Amino acid sequence: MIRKELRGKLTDLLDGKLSPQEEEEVLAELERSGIPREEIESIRSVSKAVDATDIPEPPVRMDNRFYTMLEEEKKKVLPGEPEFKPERSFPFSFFTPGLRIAAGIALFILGWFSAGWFGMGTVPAGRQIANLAGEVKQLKETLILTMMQESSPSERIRAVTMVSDLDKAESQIINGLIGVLNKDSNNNVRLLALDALIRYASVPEVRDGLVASIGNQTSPLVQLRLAEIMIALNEKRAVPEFQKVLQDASLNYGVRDKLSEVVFVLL
Amino acid sequence: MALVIAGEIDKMGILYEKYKRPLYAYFFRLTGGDNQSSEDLVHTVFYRMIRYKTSFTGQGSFVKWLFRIAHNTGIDYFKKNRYANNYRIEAGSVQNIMYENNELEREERRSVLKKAMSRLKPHEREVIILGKIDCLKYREIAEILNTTESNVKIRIFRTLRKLKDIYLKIENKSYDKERTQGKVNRPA
Repeated sequence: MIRKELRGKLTDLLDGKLSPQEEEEVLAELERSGIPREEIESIRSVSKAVDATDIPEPPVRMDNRFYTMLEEEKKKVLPGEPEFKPERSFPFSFFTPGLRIAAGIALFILGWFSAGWFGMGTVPAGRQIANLAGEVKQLKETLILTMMQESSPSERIRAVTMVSDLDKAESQIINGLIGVLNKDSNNNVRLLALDALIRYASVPEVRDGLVASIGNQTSPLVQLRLAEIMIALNEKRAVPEFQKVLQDASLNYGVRDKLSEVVFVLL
Repeated sequence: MALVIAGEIDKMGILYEKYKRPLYAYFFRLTGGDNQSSEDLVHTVFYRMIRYKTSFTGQGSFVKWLFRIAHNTGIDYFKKNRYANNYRIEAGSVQNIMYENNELEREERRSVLKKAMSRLKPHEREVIILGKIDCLKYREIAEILNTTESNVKIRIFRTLRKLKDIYLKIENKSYDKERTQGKVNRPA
């Protein structure tokens, strides 16, 4: 039976937080209770092994579920009070942004075929198809940019992931992604925007935007991801930006180590 | 949290971003690495936080209140999954071990630890896991589990001791099995 006053020191013993004198006292007491010193070492090893269990990052899907639920709950807070909604034309007021995209594209295609049916199209068929594809792409880009401004993070996440469906991103989409990377209130949305931008790393304005965004990041996850990308791109212009970040005394230790390493590699 | 109670529900997003990782880690360890269940359980905790936000009186710490909800959510989960004890173990990892290969050895140890953890009762696993959460003090764990701080410490110690015994039993058993099959020469 372990004395009551020593019970409170058992976890400190395993965590190595006792002074040598206290540790000796507890170990001697435990030995008297039939727990030899070697056994304490084994228990410590098992405890450390539990500490070392790999925990993955929570999936982005979990964030989507939470923010969708939060949006729904916000609507329920004041049921008597009319919720502010931007004015929308009648048919669109019933649709979610995703459905609005589909409806917009469908209406556009319908209009195009109707124009052809009534003999309004005077250009050759091949050019008409090329025009149609261009118009659909433009419509999609406009909707992506609109969704990037939505208040719900899940909608903004959807907008950023939709960029990967585009064969080529125009400068307004790239600027939109850089805007999300610098200003979005949700770090998961920023991370997704960062990953979407890597696809266009050969575009000079993307590289400029990535380098300039270093100073705008406070999330360790985004900072670490940016550090990896700068190494992969061998972007030496990132060095002064990282050096400025390193001057922040409150910087996360893990990030500090990584950024110091990146500066060393890139110099 | 006071702002959330006052009706600024969107402030819950700040709490979510701050505590989603420790909560996910808590459930991930509790369910033995079940990603889907961990995600569902974190979602349930935040849903309950919003639903029962007024039960936070501000007298105790917020983290204690949060993990009290997590603790109850975990109890409900294990009640529903009583027979399975829902602890996932990857099959086959004990076979074909080459002790000279460090990575495989580490993988083997992880697998043995997972099996050992699965043989603890859920409430035993939980006390160890709560003790590993940085933002929780032993006093707060005691309040979550409705006991005393000294009792929490001795429970953690006894459970880790039990875990160590189970771990060694599994390790020796798998070693004996390998030896009889002539697959390994164990180092000293």
